[in-house]
Amino acid sequence: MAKRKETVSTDVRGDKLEITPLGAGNEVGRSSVFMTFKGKNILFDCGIHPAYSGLAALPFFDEIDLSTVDILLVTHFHLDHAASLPYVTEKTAFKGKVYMTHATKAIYKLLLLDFVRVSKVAVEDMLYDEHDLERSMAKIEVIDYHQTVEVDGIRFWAYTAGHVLGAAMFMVDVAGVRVLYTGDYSREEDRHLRAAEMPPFSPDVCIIESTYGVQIHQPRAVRERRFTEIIASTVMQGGRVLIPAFALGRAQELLLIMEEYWAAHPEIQHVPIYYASPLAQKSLLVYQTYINSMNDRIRGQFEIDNPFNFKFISNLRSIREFEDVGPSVVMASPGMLQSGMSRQLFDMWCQDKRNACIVPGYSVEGTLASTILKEPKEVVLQSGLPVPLRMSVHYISFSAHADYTQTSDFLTELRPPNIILVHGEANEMGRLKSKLNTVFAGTDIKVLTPKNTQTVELHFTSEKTAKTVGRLAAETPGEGTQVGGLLVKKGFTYQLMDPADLHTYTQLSSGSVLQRQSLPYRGSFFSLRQRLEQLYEGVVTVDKAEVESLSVHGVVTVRHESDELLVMEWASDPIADMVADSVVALVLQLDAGASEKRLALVGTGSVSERDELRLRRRLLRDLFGTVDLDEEAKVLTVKMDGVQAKFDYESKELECEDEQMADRIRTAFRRMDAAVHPLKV
Amino acid sequence: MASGSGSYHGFPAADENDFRNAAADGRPGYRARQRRTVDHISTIYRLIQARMYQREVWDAPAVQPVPAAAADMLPPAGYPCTPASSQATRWVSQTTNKVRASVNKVVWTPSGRRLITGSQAGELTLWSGQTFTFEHLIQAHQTAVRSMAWSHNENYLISGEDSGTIIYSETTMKILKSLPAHKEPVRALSWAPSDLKFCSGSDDSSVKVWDFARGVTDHVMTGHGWDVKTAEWHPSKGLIATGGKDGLVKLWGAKEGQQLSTLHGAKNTVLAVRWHAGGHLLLAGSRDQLIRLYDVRTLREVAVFRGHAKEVTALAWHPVHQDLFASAAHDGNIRIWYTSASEAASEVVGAHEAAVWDLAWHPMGHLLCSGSSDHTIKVWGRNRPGDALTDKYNATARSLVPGTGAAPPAAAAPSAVPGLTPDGLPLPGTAHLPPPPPLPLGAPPPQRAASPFSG
Repeated sequence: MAKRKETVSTDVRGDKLEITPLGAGNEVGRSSVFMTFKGKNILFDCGIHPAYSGLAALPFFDEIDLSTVDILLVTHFHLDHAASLPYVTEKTAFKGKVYMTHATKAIYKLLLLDFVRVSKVAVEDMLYDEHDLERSMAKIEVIDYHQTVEVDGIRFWAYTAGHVLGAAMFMVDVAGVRVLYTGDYSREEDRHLRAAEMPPFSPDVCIIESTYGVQIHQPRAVRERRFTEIIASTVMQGGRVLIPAFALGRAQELLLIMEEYWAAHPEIQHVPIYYASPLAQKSLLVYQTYINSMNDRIRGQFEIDNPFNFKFISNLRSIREFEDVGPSVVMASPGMLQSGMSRQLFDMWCQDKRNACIVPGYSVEGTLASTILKEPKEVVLQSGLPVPLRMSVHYISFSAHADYTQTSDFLTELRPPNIILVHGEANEMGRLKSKLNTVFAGTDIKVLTPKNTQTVELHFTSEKTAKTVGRLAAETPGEGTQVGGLLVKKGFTYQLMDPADLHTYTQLSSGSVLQRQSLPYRGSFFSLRQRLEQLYEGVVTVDKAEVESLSVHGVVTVRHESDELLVMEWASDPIADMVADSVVALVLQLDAGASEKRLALVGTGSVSERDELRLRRRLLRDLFGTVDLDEEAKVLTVKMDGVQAKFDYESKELECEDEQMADRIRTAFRRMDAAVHPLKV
Repeated sequence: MASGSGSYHGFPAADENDFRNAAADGRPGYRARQRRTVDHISTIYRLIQARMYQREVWDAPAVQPVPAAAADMLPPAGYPCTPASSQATRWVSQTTNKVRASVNKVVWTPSGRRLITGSQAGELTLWSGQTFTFEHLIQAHQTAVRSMAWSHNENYLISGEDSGTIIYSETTMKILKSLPAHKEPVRALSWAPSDLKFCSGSDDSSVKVWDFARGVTDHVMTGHGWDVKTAEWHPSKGLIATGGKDGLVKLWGAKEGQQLSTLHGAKNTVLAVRWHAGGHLLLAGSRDQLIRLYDVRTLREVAVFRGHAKEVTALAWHPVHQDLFASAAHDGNIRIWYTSASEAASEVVGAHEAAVWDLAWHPMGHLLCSGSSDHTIKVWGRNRPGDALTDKYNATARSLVPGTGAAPPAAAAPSAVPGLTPDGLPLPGTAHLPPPPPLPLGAPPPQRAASPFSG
């Protein structure tokens, strides 16, 4: 296949690829990136902004016509990537197809149900309700990793993204131009997730997240050691550990870490670990189900036992079930201590200095989790009572986003000619851009950071290339060799193949069109045969035919159906069509000769003067109405509007009182003569 | 001395409004301003005199809580057991560069004769160390000055800027060398005790050890996950402490260029790390509003100082009193702390109108200078005996010793933390002093407008 060439100069403009971030352009949250190329419209992700509510939280969908979107690809289940999906499918003109992975779909439902429940209480202008969510579920189609799906000329497939269970990176191929959208990804393998895959070839455009900018993560081992050390030392002192975490996603990783630590340390096994979330039970079921989407390590464990059947961790549906006696570890949702179980536990424990709270990830400014990170002296309980904050607060980030090392390694290996940064704070994105520009200095690689609704236009010359396949490709053609075959266009791709390979490489099969033409022919079949033999070699009589038949050149069969009719049959192909054409011409010529002879006979009146008279009568009747024919006297009588005209055929004389009518009849006769008696050539 | 009453260690009681309407030199529109002078020489004479009959430092005579006793004040070194005397919360002076720009860095020359400030506009400005008047300005940098450090031998100043360049200057402010050191802003510079090397920390998340004479890197130390915001060389060892945007404090071996240890704890960017002169304690101020004190012998957090309501931006250990340090925050407040107390000893609320970027104690410890993003440079002095603390800044200050900033040392209580003097508060003998008179002489009386200075 010929190497595709990208034109970046503005002079030679090719087809325009437009990429517009509708959300997450120079910000974190409400991811949504719109792409259009060759009339195909693709939307990547549709999230909401966690800091806003109602319509303000949506990406800028007004910028595009949602009804024109062909496909919507959702990378993972996080609210900032998927939560506006029910709105898009149910409340807008959107009528495209929605794709996500199996695990994402399963968790999406759980998560959004919870989201709807929470927003029902908190938000007045709800974007959608449970029914919308339920209906949107029916519209979601699932895709497996590496499964190629083609919709209307758009081919796309998914790679593992490693961010959370079911997270995918999408590669979209429209007319040979490939765009990779990473969503949130992580190149680091952890306890249960695979690392993001490296696509085997370079896309033309890579839309990549830049959450962490130029930051580099602490090694995972260090973070895990700190985490377990804090937990262990706290429970050893008789304290309680509160881990406010989001119910799904990183929580499962933390549970695995704790389970492993507990298994290795019998001395603290008497300390219970609780996973307190209304979604606890259901989400663990999902995780138990989708073991296959996880990494080899966990699948190895699965051979022995389901690793999500925890031995030391028990679920806690509500705070009432919880007996607060002695040290314990509780992972509770919500993750930012806004309300609910984690908040109740925090209120219970925050005054005891033996207790500890570990914040395992990012917390939005203004929430209690972000407040306690500043270690204030006092906190206000849910009851409004200010109390001293004595418990120790720790912050260990477990969020699985790519850091600078991962991003730059990924891009260096992938080398996409166009890099578009999304999903990052503007300042950090700028720094990442300049740092990447230094990394790629001296190459044609461009790094772009569009803002929300700012369109990036890229141009790709649509150099049409065809891939030669099958037996045509068996030999490498030399210089100047002509290669011929069938050009098959599918979507935006072309393939050149031998007709015999058609069935192998396409869903098409070759067929032939049998053409049949009936021709009036009054001449003798013998003379036709003679004339054909003068023109063609290989005119043979077809044996065992019901009627007299000839085969011309082996392609056209001519049958003498009756005295006046010939039927030709041939399978349509260029040569046969040509032969058939010439045969038709020949037959018509012969037939015309025969007709001329016959008409000449008519002129002498010897053969069928009677026929001619009848013909004239018929024609006159068409013109004037009542016409009587006296066959013996050869007189035609025309009656119209009470006027009578008599025409003597023998003497060609017309008797008529009305001059006008006589003129008309004469004219009619003159024209009849011209029609019936052809001119002598 | 510039002003008649300024011949003692402190500054004249007159406030700047006294001369607001007076014309000087007949120049129209010129607003005569009294230049406050802080003369530390006289206090040193006092100390030398006192030494003649004083066997031990605590034999120093008590300073009476009256303004007149200001003349008897000793330099901070004269009150080794009374760190409370060095709480510099009294406003002394405020200056601004002609080109108004955020003041990112302030340093005193090692002799204390001059104050050098580095601004966002790339200017290095020299100010008099006693009268705080403008002396000289050099446009040494093209971009904002981000770091400055004087060598211990007082011969060289190095300064780093936003473009990543480090500039060597002499004491005469002649630029010797320009060193392209980093690709991103040089956030911190610190000299090795030997002055042969220095280290630099940059936003490119690397820490570099440089050979000063040759101007080449000895080691490039990477390990910080994000911007390095602060770095300081250990006062006596080949050890470098750095703090970064990743919220970590790291210790590095300067000889091998290795990372030795990481101190977790800060939950946000560490903006300042400062070694205690003893070399065992390390102070780290972070954007999580807390100041943490680490003991590097055990690598444990020994104290947490909470109180700032905004990001802690700058820290400075007092040069004389080993358990005293000053901190500044993003909201423009300055606090002075004892290492032994979790509460601030005093606070200057609204010291600046915007974030304070740097703090520097005068080498003798009687003045504190602060540079801020409100474009001003302010100098803060010790409160004088008998001060009512009624001025704008001290009015809100929570000085723990009412009525005096320089109480006579009594019998020193045994230190709570080994190697550190006690905070000494409340001082025996001073806590029960009668409250200051309703209108102390130290306060600016309105009739002072017709003082002899106006003539």
